[in-house]
Amino acid sequence: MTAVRLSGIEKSFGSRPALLGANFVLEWGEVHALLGENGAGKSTLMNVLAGFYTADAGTLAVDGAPARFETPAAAAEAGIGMVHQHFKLVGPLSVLENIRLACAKRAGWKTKAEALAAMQTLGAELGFHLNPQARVDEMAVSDQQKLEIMKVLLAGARILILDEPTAVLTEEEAKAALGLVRTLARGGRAVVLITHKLRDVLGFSDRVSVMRAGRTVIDAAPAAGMTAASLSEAMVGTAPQGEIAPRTAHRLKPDMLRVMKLSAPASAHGVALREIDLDVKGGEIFGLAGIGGNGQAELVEALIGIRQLSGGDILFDGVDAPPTPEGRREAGLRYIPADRMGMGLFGELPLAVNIALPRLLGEKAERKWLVRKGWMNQLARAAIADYEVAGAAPDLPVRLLSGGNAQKLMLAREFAGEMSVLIAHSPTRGLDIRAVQAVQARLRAAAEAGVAVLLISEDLDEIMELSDRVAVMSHGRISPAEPVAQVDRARIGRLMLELH
Amino acid sequence: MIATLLAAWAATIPAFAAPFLLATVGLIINERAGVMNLGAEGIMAIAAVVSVLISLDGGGVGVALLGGVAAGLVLTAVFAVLAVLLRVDQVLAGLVTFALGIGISGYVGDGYDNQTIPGLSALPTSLFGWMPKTLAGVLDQDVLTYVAFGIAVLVWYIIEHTDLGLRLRAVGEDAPAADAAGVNVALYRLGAVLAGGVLCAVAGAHLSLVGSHLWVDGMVAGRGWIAVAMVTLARWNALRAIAAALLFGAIQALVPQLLSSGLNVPVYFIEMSPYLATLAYLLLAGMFANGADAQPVDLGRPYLREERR
Amino acid sequence: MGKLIVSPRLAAPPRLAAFTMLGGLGAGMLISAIFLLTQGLGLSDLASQFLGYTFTDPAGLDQTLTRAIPLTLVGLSVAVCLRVKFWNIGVEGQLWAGALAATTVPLYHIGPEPVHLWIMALAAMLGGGAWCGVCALARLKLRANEVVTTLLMNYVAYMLAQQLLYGAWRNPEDSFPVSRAFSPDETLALLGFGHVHAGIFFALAAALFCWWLCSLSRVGYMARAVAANPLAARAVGVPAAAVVLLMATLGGALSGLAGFTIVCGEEHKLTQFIGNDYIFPSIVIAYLARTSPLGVVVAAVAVAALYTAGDSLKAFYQLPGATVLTIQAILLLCVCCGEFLLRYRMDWVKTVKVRA
Repeated sequence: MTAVRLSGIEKSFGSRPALLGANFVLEWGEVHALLGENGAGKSTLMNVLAGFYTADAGTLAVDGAPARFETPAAAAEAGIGMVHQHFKLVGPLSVLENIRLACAKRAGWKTKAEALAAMQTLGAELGFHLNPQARVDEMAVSDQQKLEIMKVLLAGARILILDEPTAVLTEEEAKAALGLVRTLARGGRAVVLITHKLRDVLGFSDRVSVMRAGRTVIDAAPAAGMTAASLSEAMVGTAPQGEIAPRTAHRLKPDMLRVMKLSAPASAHGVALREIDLDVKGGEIFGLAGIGGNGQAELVEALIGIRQLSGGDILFDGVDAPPTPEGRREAGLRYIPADRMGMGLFGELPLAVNIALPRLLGEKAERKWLVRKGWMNQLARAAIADYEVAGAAPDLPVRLLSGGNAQKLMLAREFAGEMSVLIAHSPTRGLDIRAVQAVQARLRAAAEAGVAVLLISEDLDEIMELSDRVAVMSHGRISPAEPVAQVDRARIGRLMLELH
Repeated sequence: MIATLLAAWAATIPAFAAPFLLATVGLIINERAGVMNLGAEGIMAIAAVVSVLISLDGGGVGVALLGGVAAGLVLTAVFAVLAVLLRVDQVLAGLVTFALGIGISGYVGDGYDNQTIPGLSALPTSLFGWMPKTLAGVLDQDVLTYVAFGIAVLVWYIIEHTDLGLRLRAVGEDAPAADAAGVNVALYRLGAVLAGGVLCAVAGAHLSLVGSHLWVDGMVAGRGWIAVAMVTLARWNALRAIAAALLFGAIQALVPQLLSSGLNVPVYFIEMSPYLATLAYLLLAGMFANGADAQPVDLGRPYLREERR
Repeated sequence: MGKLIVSPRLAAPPRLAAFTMLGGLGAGMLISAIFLLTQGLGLSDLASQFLGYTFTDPAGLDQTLTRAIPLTLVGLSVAVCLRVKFWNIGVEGQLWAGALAATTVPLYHIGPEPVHLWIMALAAMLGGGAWCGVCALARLKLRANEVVTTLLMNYVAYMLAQQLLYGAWRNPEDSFPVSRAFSPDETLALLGFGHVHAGIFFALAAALFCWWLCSLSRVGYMARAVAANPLAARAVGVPAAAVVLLMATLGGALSGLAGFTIVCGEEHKLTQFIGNDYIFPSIVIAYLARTSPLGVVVAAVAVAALYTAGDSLKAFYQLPGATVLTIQAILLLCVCCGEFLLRYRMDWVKTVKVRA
């Protein structure tokens, strides 16, 4: 029995197309994995199903009847509930308040007591034990996810969409959550698992669909017949694989970046850093693997100097790192943040200002009293040419660049001047294959030029391919580093577990 | 001598506090839904002048109050359209509302300055005859002042204890999450802005109908601005707003008492004290109790679902 | 049935930006004109009042230019603060603080007499700067909303001034609540054109300085970065807190300087009502100028002309003093609506009800 059928769905944001005729079929009682790289359109497609976006074209049917959802409420009415990767919880409110907010109308509760009773009944059934009075933004991420699932079920969802449910969980938490999802499906509901992890598909799903660049490339195939290789190929396509040039042997310079017993308190939604030791040599790429949200962002912030530390030392080339971000940049530190529009670039400002800004800072600023437009434009044109930034002009606001071109611009800005340490956080996430290859080539070249490169990535393939040494980050801690030749995926998985 | 002075002072406090209380509670409704309205001063002015004009035209107190509220509501609607529908920066939209209100009230009130109206007087003294005299003085207020304190309690209950209030708070704390939960963000914000505007308008009508019994250009005298600051002092809680309003009302009521008593005291320093107290409170709250946390997270942030953030 | 879908424009064409701005201004002027026509003015009256008197008549031009001096300075004050997304609703308080600080110099004989004027200007800038700077500090360190703090500081400065004028600074000769008159060394020279005084050079110099700071110096680019993305600014090494503090303090100093030009150029003593009715004009000027310092000069002259015309309308046609404020509000309202058309696109989408 078909629960949902989406066909020929198109959706664009402004002039940027996100879906180009995507299809999706969901049956009752199944766990259906929707697989794809970042930016493939899988979340957008499910947002259309859940009423968060309205499709520009295409048809949608629920239980065989055509439907069109203008609002999430309309989708909920039809029994569709979505748990987003970024939870839709109101942080300052309590658990029970969030449940009342989302479900009171649909569940028909008249009083707080009724809501509490319903919540506790479901909690007992699922084995969730949440304090109804707890403030949501003070709870652990895994508890927030449990609350989200309860919310959706209490609102009467029969079709459950989970967007990257395991991204923020530890191994055991993820296994428990996926097991629960199977139980729910076996009970007669239908579950969509949006993911880019092969493990979630092969271990816990009945069928799988794969999306690439806004289109459905595998349409509801039985998961049993798939292999990791066939799925990855479907996800990334058969784009030409670049020749990986063997790294030329070169001399390593010890202690370019040394971190000793670095600790930092957790901020509101974050992770505390706990006694981190790191030693990245000049000329090597040091790969730091691990699931996102385990302290990676905090580590980057601590290294570039915008996070308050509670202890430990950071040394550049054997001397204490300057305390301020501007001092560290002058000492040769560069960074590529995971969220380039959030922590790297200035979307509203012209490309030329984005490129020139670092050169205006600190004691060694190239221009202080008179910053001419011509000078900035010249820098911008050089960067556009050197880094092959497509569709760019010096006065173009950077937010109008595509992801890959914005990342090239980020590299152009950061690689300028004397660089000795580079922190690259998920530098290829969400980029197309050619941009990925360009970025990876730049990282290799930087290492060969003697820069100490700290590569932080969730993408194990990238880590294994680029790194000289590898360590794992989990729960705010870092494992001792090991040469890449001595580790494999299984070893990395074990390291993550050992770091609790 | 001192005792009489204190009793006279205490008796005037509630009527001084009521307009502050009404406007502050109105702005609390706004801000809990995520909208900051700097136009309160203008809304109060327009309501005050229209109430007086209707009274001068022979209208009864009830009609005058309704007319004032209607005028304030029209002006609030301008703000609502700007801030909620057109997503103009709320500070800017509020200032436009302020200037429109002050400007238009100066216009329509031109030529009617200082003409006294009967206004609304206190309840008959006989009702309170059996009480001790000081208490009777404090309790012998007009109906509108009683309504003001009642409204504060009612609004507090609605915001903190009903589903309506829950949705209102959700809109102010996290508009996208509230939207996801099926709350119509724009509708709730519009409703909150208009409800808040009604209370600001009642506050303005109170000024002329209960306080001065006449209209003078500039008679709101910054009370609308003070209400904006008092929201912070009340930590966005309508019950605490009662305490904040009593503080400001007490100081304002003290000044005429002091002037008529002939005591030589630094009047302006005394008038300054509630402002300094509010500033000090703001700073202390920031220093110690994570004070800014009481502020709705999405305050001042326009919401449009299609804008991904 | 259909539905109006509002979505943000990805990039607004520059021509549309100019068109919406001019369209907004034009619509505002049209509404204001209709409003005045309903008040019994003729078309020719409007033209002669708003264009003739304010700019070509010497008396009108004199009044316009004199009034434009403090208006330019407070407009710059708001504009500079907005460059780092700091809402300065406190220009009146800063203006009072500047005037008070300036007045301490003659009253307490600070520094050598011949350079009193310069010391007064400096004191005014320090006073105004401090008044706004503490609000910036409170926002940076204690997360106190600057809209509320700058607003409250208006009242503190005003009450402080009144307390001084009714107390320690009251004129000893006639007991009026004004300070004693300043000596000629302590006043800004008249320029031989009505009441226009040397403060005009302060205002123009301030505008030039702000233009250099915002458009040519590196500080201006750091400010843009902080306004566009504070987190990225800090990460890339912009001393973000220092930039916000600097711009806000400068903004306060400019308002303080406006207080200086009023007490030293117009009143020649501290009086009771120097700092009234500047908050809204300062916002209007900064917004119409789109925070461009040179644009502020133009906008300030235009708003000053509006006040000149308002004064004469009051005198000759008995229109209330609120006219000018109302017109400013209408203009800003219309420009805000134009801004909406610039930032968002609206599409009428037909909804097709498929499901019963």
